Parts: sequence; structure tokens; C-alpha cells
Amino acid sequence: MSGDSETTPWPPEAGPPADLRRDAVPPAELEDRVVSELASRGLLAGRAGPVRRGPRPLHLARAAVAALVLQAAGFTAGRLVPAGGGAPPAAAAADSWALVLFEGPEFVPARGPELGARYDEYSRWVAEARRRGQFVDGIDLATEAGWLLSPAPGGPAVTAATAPGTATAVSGVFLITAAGPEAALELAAELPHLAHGGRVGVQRVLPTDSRPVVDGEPESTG
Amino acid sequence: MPNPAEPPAAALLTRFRASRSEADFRALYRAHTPRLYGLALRLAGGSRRRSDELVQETWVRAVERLDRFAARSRFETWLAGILVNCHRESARRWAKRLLQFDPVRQPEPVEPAAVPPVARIDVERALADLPAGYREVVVLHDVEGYTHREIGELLGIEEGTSKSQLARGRTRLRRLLDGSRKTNRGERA
Repeated sequence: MSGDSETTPWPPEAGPPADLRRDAVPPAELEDRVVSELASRGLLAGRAGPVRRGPRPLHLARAAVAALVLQAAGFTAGRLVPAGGGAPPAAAAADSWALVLFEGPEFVPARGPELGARYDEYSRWVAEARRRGQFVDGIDLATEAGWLLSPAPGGPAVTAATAPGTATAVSGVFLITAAGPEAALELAAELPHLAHGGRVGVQRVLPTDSRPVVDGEPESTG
Repeated sequence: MPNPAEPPAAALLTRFRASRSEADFRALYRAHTPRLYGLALRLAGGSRRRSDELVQETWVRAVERLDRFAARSRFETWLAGILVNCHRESARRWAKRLLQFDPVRQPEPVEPAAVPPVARIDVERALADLPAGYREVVVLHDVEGYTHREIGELLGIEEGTSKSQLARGRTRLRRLLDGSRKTNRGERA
């Protein structure tokens, strides 16, 4: 055998594995959801009907609007931190991920009265991502025209290459947090963009140590 | 640290089995769910939505089958076994949806060198990046403290398989941590 658990120890540099073990705080509404599910299956004595599940639709609609307002505020200020101000509630360590929205030849853009409904679809996705503590920021990119610069003798060549219908058309970028590729792909897979023929690129954002520069000197943090 | 004002977990189970009341279930749920949720998060690679679903499904199955729980194992071990099975079923469904993705790239093996401690965030990330089969055994054995015999029962595999999966999982974990250190060094350079 190539090795067993006695000869292949836990990596000592990772610290004691038992230190990783900790309880995680489940979402408060999960308890009600479980109780409701048990009650609906007749598994609890004296309970026949479901208890209230999550926020009511009106609250969801308000949350979506609020999320968009916060999203806009966060983008305007150029922040790459959760616009809600607090740390994401994820119990596991989370990375930042970029979800790049491509509008390739298969993408079906919304027209006329469809625009409002399409806007609402993306808003609901933002609200849900925010509810899970995974939403960081969103950048909307104009797609009526776009250009691609390529190296060329005498200076970069500029071509119209990021316009709608081209493979490189990008209509926006969402920044999210997720503990791993599975979680990032899961949230990306829920984007309404896919249902309309768009494609979504998922890439982890590498952390940087760059700090603001003031008057040519790095800004002091201490 | 147990709260002396609250009844022990075993008493909560006995009480709920007798009454099947919502109040007693809620007490039982609150005693066991934080641990269960921590395990769900790790098995689900940090996905809260999948963890919510796993924990909900675990409790539904547990209550449905409570009469079959014969106390040969600890109640929390029995719950963990149900959760692991739910996770495996869910993972199979998820794999079908994401067949085209292979997000976990295996980093190049690196030569052993001086091994400075790695940050906990890197360990969590490496655990999340482990292939599901390795992750289950590494999390259950090294993090949660289950024995190979218990893991064998939980996963329906032989003890020897649990041991070899653990060895391979640890080797893969070390490579992931080495890759993470390499990346961090590169970023700081």
C-alpha cells in the first residue's frame, strides 16, 4: 500500500486538527423551517399546519430594493467590502470570487417591457446572495459598444470586440464571498443570466497587500 | 461547557421520544444542531444553502426513524451518519448538474521544505478543496474525532478503506497547503 493513516500524519504545520472543530451557528430561521417540515409530515404531536416560513413576499421585495440601493452605494464609493458594513456570517473561511457575466451570441437580451422583469430577476439574485452573507459588490458594464486593445507595432490596435454578440461581450461582474469553488459555483449557477443564454465565468479573487498611496507615501495604518 | 440550567442531551432525547412535542423537539434541535451544522458546512465545502438543506433533511429523517435508534452509538454519531448519507445523496445530485465543471485543480507536488505554520483560513480552504471522498474521512476522523470503526459504519466502508482514504486525504491536504503557502509567498514577494 502506498501509505496508511499511521505513516501519513495530519500536516503538523496546520496545527492540531481538533482546534478546527467548532460548532457553527445555524441560521435562526432554520429551526422554524425544520419544525414546519416535521409538522407538515405529521411528525410532531399537536401540530398539523406549517409555521411561518421566512420573510413574507413583501419583505423580500423591500429587501431586494434595499439591496440594490446598497449595491449602488457600495459601487459608487468604490468599496470592495460588504455594503452592509458587517462581516459575512459564513462560518467557514471565505474567499472572494468574481462572477463575470458574458453576453455571447446565445444571449437573449431583454427588450421593452421585459426590461423591468429582467431587472427584478437579477435583483432577487442579489437579495438572496446578500441574505446569505455572500454578496460583496456588483459592476454593471455598458454593452452597446466595447473595444479590445491588442499589442501591435507602433501602438495597440483597437478593435470593436466586446460588443453584444461577440464572444468577449461582458455585461457585468459580481463580487461574492464563498468558502470554496463548490459554493462559488453554486451561487453562480443560480444567476438568471444563464437562463437567458448568457455565460458566467467564476474566478477566485487573489488577495493583495496594496494600500492607498497618499502624497507618494503608503498611508499609515497604525 | 454544559449549562447546568439545561437538561443533558440524553434527557432531551428521552423527553422528546416520549412526548413528540414541538417544544421538546426544539430543545433537542438546539442541543445538537450547532455541531451538526459545523459538520454540514465542512462536508458541503462551506455552502450555507446546502448545509441548511442537509441539516433540515437530517432532522426529518432522524425524527422519522427515531424508533429505530437503539442507542448502540451516541445520538450525535447517529445524527452525523444520517447527515453524511444526506450529503452523499445531495453530492451525487449536484455532480450531475455540474458535470462539465472540474473546479479543483491539483497543484503541482512540491518538495518538502521548511514548513512554517499556515493560517487557519488556509487549512479551511484546503479542506474545502479536498475531493469529497477524502474530505469526508479527513473531517470525520481528524476534525470530528470519529474512529475508523465509526467512520466505517457511518460511510458503509471497511475500516481499512477509511484508513487508506485518510492517508490519501492527508497527503492531498498537505499538497494543497504547500500550494497555498507558495501562492502566499508569491503574492508577498
